[in-house]
Amino acid sequence: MAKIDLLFYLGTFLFCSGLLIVFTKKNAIMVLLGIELMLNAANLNLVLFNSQKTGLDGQLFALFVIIVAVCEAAVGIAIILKTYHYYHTSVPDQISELKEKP
Amino acid sequence: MTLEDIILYLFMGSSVAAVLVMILNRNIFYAALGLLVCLISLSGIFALLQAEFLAVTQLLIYAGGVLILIIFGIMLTNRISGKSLQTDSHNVFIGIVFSAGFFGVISFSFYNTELSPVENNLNIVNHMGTVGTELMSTYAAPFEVSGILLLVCLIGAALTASSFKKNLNG
Amino acid sequence: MTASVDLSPAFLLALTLLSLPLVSAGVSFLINEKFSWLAPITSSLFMLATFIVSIFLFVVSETELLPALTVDWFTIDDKTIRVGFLLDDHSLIMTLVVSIVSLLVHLFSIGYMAEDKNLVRYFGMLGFFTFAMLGLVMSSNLLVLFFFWELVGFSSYRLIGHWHEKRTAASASTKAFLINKTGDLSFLMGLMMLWSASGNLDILSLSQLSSPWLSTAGVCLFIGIMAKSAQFPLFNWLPDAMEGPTPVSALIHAATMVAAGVFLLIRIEPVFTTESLIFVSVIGAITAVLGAIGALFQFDLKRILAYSTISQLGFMVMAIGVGATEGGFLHLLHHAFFKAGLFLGAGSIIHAMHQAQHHDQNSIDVQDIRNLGGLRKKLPITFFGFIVCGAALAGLPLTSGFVSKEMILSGMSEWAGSAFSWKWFILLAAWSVTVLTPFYIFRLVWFTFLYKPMTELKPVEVPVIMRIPVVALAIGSVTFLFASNSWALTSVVGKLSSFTQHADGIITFVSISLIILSLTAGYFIYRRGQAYPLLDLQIYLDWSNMVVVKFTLLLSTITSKLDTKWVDGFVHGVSYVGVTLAYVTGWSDRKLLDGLINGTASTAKGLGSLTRSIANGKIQSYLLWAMSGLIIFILWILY
Repeated sequence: MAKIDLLFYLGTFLFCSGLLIVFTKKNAIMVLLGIELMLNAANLNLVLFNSQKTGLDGQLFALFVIIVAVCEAAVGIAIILKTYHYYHTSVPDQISELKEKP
Repeated sequence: MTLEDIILYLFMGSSVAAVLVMILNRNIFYAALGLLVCLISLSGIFALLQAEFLAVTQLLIYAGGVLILIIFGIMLTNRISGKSLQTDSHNVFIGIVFSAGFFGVISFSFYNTELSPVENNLNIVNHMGTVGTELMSTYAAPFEVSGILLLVCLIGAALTASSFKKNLNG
Repeated sequence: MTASVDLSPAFLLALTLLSLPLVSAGVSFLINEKFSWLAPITSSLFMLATFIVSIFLFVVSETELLPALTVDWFTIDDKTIRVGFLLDDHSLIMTLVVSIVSLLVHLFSIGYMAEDKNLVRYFGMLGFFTFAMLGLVMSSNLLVLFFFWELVGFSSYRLIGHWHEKRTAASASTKAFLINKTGDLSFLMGLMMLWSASGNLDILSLSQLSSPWLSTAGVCLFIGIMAKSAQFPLFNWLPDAMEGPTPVSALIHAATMVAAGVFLLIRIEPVFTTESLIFVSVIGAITAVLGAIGALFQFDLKRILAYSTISQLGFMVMAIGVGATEGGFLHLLHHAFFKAGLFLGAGSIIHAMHQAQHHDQNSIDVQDIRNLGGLRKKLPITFFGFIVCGAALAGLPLTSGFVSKEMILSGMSEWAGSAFSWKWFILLAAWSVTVLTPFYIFRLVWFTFLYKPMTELKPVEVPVIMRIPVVALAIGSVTFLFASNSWALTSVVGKLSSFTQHADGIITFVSISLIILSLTAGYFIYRRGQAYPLLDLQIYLDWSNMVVVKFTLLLSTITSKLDTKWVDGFVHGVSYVGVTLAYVTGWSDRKLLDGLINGTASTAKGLGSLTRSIANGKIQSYLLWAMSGLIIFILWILY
């Protein structure tokens, strides 16, 4: 198997692992970690596709993805801190103010 | 197989191992450390793919900034001692099914695609300088906008996380 | 609305007359709280204008014969509702009385309510009441009349509860409202019967009615009148309504609103058949006697007058029931004057005593006649007004009450006939009222003005603005106003003299001697104060209430017994049959239908829980299902 194919499979694997973490882990911080992982997998893909052609579009796009990811992480952590402050939990399922009580 | 290839495979293996730790371990802190390992490995891969600037940025911002932020978040929202750092899983079966399904779909499409091998000798000299020039000329507008985004996000995150009641309740 | 409106001067005048009090009310309500002293002035001026317009209307009606001034309002199917004014002799005179009493009450209120905080609301409601009352008197259609009837009740409710901070006033206003509503319900039923009988609610066309339901409709309408005019057994609200300001009692609960029932009785007289007239006269007789006896045992100044009003209203209703309609109407007019005069006099007394009390820091109940006495010298003008009005109430010669009372009594004697029958009991009731009325009014005057003072308070005569109405009403209660031709209002006299029939000499003699006898007896009984324990028994005090309550309780006991024995037995029998049937159908249900239904239900339940498990409120589950959609999308795109 070629090196580049392996790297593409790695990117897909990382993305799907991130997806799995987002789906299955209960803690909001874990969800955030999963999202970061998915973004990095996307970055890897961008860099790989960049190597398929001339120019630096993919790399620079990956750079902007990093910037957005930083913003997302900062705001996400802030929101998680705030919810923890109010509800004393960082598990989203336990926050059910609007849900009908069973 | 050159030395570069060996290092690349090592990075790939370590990142996969780190991700598996993230998935399988129930401790959030270990998961964060796993992500750190994964990100460092990825920056190594980036460097080997001749994206040095991106690799450095990855190391600086992700490993140095975001991970520290996340670890602070973990420490602030979970009691360090005891089992509180543990996290449970749910939707395990269906999550695995869907993730695997997505992996299958994407892999199948890669499998059907003809890809050219990685060109190690891209005819670009002075890589870092080219990125800088591109960033300041062709991508000037997105660069500035991302600056504004960072500023807004900085203020917003600070305001959201601050316990200054007056700001919160208007 | 294609019919052209006949804009005759009379129509315009009537419209002006109706709108002036409404404008007065609107202006009063628009006045800012800061300038609330303006409200009495503006509304009094408006009332003066109303009075002048009503005189004009009267004069106009002399020169031209007024038809019913009506306009088509709306048409349902082929039945048209017409609205407009019906200005016959009765309503014209009534309009005059309403506007003049309203004017005098407005004047009196300027003095009486001077220190009140809610002047704007008070004068606004007075104006609104006058508007509603004029509308009631003038409207030519029973439906429109019913609207005004309700508005009158509403403003009465608001005015009784004017001092709603006082718990008694608030509950009294509620009581009056509820009892009136009970009557209104019956009135509405009567209107429906009339409508179904003729499809027409014009007052003028009532005389052509013939329907088997006519008696029932008459009784239903009369029950509405009973509530409004405080007839037995719906009269309990009137004594309680005395919690309102005294000028309000004079205007609404003596002169106009309670008289509206009697007025309406005269208006719709054609509806009443011989049978329903018997009902009317019996109710009137019972009310007249009960009210007179009730007035004997009260100690509160205003409650005595309230019971007296009930008695007099019963007297009028009785007169109309026996067919002495004109006598009843004349008595209604006279009663409006002298009873309003008595109430305003009582208001003067209360006002003067309150002022004195305020000065002395004394806290006796100034409305209790046992605490009054010797006011003749201190309040000479009030005494004069009170004694004249009281004489009119008692029916002494030379007063207005005398004339109408003679008319009613002679009419009743004629009606009762010489042979003994049940009608003699009604006649007996009328005569006993004739005897009792001077008795209780003598008691009132004696203890208030003539007996030795019971308190050290030094009341002074009320301000001029409050003296004028009392004196004016007292003058209006004297008979020569209506007998003399030298007064400017010759037309009034002309209309009234047509009512005055020649009274029977013997009856006049007997009644005068009875009144004098009664006054003498009163003097000897009350000479030394409340000497006779029989007339002092407190248990009589609220006898009327008790009788009604006991009767109602008894009735409810009987009906509940009937319920248990007969109605319940029937219901049980029916239910046994029902239960047996239910067993049979239940068996077939379970065996045959339930299988099908349960199957459907469990399928639906399974589907429901499936869909519900997707929408379980967990973000990650939503993401999961969104992801599944994405996978399907990619597959669809790629292959």
